[in-house]
Amino acid sequence: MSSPIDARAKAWFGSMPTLRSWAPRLASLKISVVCLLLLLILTAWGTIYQAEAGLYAAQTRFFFSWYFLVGGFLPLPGAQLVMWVLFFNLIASMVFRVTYSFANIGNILTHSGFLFLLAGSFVTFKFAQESYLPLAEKEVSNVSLDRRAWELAVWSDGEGGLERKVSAVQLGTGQVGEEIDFSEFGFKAILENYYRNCDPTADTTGMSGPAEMRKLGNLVTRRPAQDPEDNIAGARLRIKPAGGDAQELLLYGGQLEPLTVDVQGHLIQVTLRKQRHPLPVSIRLIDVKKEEYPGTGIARTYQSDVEVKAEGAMSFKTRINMNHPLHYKDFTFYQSSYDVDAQGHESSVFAVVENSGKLLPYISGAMIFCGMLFHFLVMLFRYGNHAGKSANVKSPGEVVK
Amino acid sequence: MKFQALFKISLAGAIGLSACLSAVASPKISLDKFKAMPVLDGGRVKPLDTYARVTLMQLSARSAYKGQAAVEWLARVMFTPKDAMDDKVFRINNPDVVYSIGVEPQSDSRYTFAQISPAISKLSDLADAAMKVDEKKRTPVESEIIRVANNLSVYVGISNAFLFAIPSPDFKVTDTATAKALGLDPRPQPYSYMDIRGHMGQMASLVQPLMAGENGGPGARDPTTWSSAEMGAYHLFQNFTNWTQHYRDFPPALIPPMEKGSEMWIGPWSLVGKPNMDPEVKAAIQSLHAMASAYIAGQPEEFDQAVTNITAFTGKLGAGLVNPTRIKLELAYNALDPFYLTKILLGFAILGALIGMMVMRKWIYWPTVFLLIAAALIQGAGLALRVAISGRAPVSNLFETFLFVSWVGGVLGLALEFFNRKGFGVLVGSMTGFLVLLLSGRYDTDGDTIGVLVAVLNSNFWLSTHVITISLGYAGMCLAGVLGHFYIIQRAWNNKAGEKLDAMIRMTYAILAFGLIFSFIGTVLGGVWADQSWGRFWGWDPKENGALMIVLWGSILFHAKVGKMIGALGMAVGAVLGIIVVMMAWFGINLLGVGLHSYGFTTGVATALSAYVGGEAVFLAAMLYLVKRADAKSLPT
Repeated sequence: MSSPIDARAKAWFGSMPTLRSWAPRLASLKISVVCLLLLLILTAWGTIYQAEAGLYAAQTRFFFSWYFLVGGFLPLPGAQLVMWVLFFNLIASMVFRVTYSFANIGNILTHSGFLFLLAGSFVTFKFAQESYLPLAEKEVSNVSLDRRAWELAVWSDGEGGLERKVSAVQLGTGQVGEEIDFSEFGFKAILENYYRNCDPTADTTGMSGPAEMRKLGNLVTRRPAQDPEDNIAGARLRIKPAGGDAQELLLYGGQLEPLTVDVQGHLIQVTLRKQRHPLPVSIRLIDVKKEEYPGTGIARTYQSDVEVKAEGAMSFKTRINMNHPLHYKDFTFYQSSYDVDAQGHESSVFAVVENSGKLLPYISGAMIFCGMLFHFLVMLFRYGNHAGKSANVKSPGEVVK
Repeated sequence: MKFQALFKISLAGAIGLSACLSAVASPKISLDKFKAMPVLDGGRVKPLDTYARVTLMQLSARSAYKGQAAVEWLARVMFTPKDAMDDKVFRINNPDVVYSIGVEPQSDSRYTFAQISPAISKLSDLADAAMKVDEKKRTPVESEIIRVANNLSVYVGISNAFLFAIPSPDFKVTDTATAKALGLDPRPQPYSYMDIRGHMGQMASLVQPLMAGENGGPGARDPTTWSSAEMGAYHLFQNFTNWTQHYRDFPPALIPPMEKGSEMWIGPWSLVGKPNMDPEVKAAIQSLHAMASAYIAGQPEEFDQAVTNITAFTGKLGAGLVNPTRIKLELAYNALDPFYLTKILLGFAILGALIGMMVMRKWIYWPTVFLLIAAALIQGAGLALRVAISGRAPVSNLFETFLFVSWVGGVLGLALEFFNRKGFGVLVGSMTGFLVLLLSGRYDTDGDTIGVLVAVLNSNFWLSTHVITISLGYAGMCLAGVLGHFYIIQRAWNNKAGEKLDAMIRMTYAILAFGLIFSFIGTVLGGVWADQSWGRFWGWDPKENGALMIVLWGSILFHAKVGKMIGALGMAVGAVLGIIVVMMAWFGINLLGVGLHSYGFTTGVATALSAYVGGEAVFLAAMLYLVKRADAKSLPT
């Protein structure tokens, strides 16, 4: 006699014997348990690893990876692979294993919620973008800065310095030797070398100085930081103006001022900077405040008063503080840190997250909660019934011998 | 903090202390009003009683000294510091620290100020060096050195708080001419700083002509020509000036802010040093002086009157900053000591439940149930008082989560008992509550357990939702683990008790489900909080991972059970191991010292945790062997 799982497999894949035989196996609870166990091990291992190597390294090695090598040779599955297997195992279970009845609603809801959760994690992992927005008081900006990616930005100041046209290209080690077209500024640039993390030699520290200083300096490669966020990139470029002489440029991500390049009589600004992401609004920091508990150095709250202006819309003022971010479309702005310089000028850093799937964890969480609760109540009801029957046999307080 | 600089002042104080007077043998002073005085400490206003307990706990890991209430010890340190110099209140946990500072080791690891004070200079050097090491890279010895140095500076600060009111040899006036010139009585007993301050006018008129040319300027008079009155006044003046320069900003901050908009409270010395005082302030200073003098002289009525006057003054100044109801509630909380009471009740409940199960007597059942009910009520009242005092959910630090989880453990035990009245619920509930409450003791010494919250945690909504639900999850998992232990023991002891075993495993299953559900909800709510605070739902932060591990472990057990990969015994073993997962998530994670949740760091827990894991491994191995043997015996031959 065939099992209900086999019967469902037959109904789905009647004419495909291989699928009919294999698909139900994917619904095995053993696969679920092994996956959950692997996730548990990876979570514990990744957590301990964080203490040594930092969060980013742990995420990359254990949680975002398909696999990783232990001791440089032994491959073990990463959390991403395990979660994909779990995802398909769950789908197969929903198709072939789960009994669709009222009493089982809790189970169905819980597992559907978990499917949503995995899907939501994938959407966030693939499409969410994290950046940050540092603003001094009275400053305004409509772009945020990437935490790890660098870009080569080129612009020329418009007449009267009122308008500026910027062209930017993300840089990385993969582009070394490539030609980057800045023909709107009258030149092409060849990336001769890219430094993921580097130090300028003494001659290049004053990079906003005279033009000849640019040619004299050098960059020294440093070991990449545990978290690429702490890297300061550098680049060696060869600029080829159309019909002019080529010139070399050395760019260091730590430069405060752009380099000015004379391209056939036009002054062009060139810089290597953290990649900019356009925001749907411009934000002006009106005031930032840090309050401490009296007599202690413990912060009670950080808060930033900002003015938000979207193109073609009225501006509005709002307050961003700990646990109260600003939501705007798919963007969320969080109070991330606070700083005050030696002159007493205060500034705020907002974490900016663009995540079109931000509601998915909420929906899946609610589904799993309702499912678990329903399931638990059904179990409790059954337990109560069972216990009640036992209680009828023995009077309260009587200890069973 | 520079300890060297700090101790420059402290050392001066220490020297001063040895010269101070003891209290006279006197009628017992009642400290009831004194302990209710509000004080700002650790960012919040609390009664002096709490301040005393927290300080003593911080110094000596005890909330009372030799049977005396902490506030009595505090009063002695403040008003008669010389008497307190031989109190063994400095606990040094690491023998290497004792050796490093060259103090004679004591078997109880507690030291007196008199024993430590010769090592102040050495200690401050070591502490300054240790402070230069990154906090996460400090050795246990370095951390302990800093802790001891910090405690010492707190102690010296407190013992200096009322020096202005305590007679000191620095202000001895025995010379008749000096006394007459200053309007004082010549006497062998010294005066206090405040006594001399009351005669500043006369002293200034005598000394100023002498001082005019002290640095080589015109008008200097050759000291050999000074009269004995002038010489005496000059020495007094010098001592007075030294004291004025050295003694300031000492705790406790008893005086509310005098400037509008300020939240900074000040200590008695700072009030004494206020220029251009209005009459009310002058009267308050007199009352501070009178309070110390009355204590030293053993005059209860005068002491009470002075405390009343100061309280009236601070009450007026601190209107809006002090919540008198909360102060009263905190005093009641301290007096009730609800968690100590709970511990006792739970201990008896365990005893009762065990006797009940062993001798199988009905008469002991209900008293045991009532003991657990009483414990749950008192513990609940304690938690409610903490909510009323702090104005937030009672789960804002590790210590509070222990209290809460312990309480939930007891309540869940009662719930189990309601469904299955055989004594298991009471036994496992009281045992869970008791053991978790014992664990809380380790965190009691960290300081004020109703302390202020860092900005990111300062959210009542998320504390009341995320932390409470995750704590419910911890409680469920712990209770299931305790049940698991009993199931395994029962199975090894008598595997034929089918009904009992069946009831136990069903309870374990239900409580594990409870733990899993709340752990999951707590984890999701934590994600929502993280999304609101840090901009991401999930960041693989250690604390998040800890919560996830509990959820994963619970899910593994249930799926393995449904898939018939484990049976009842496997479930029980899984529940036992669940306690280890919970411990890792709850406080083991803090040992890593990384992550956004890196508040409430704990030291010295690693050894205890390792010992527990080792002990549990031995227990399981032994029990599983016995179960196997019992099962083999019961097989039909």
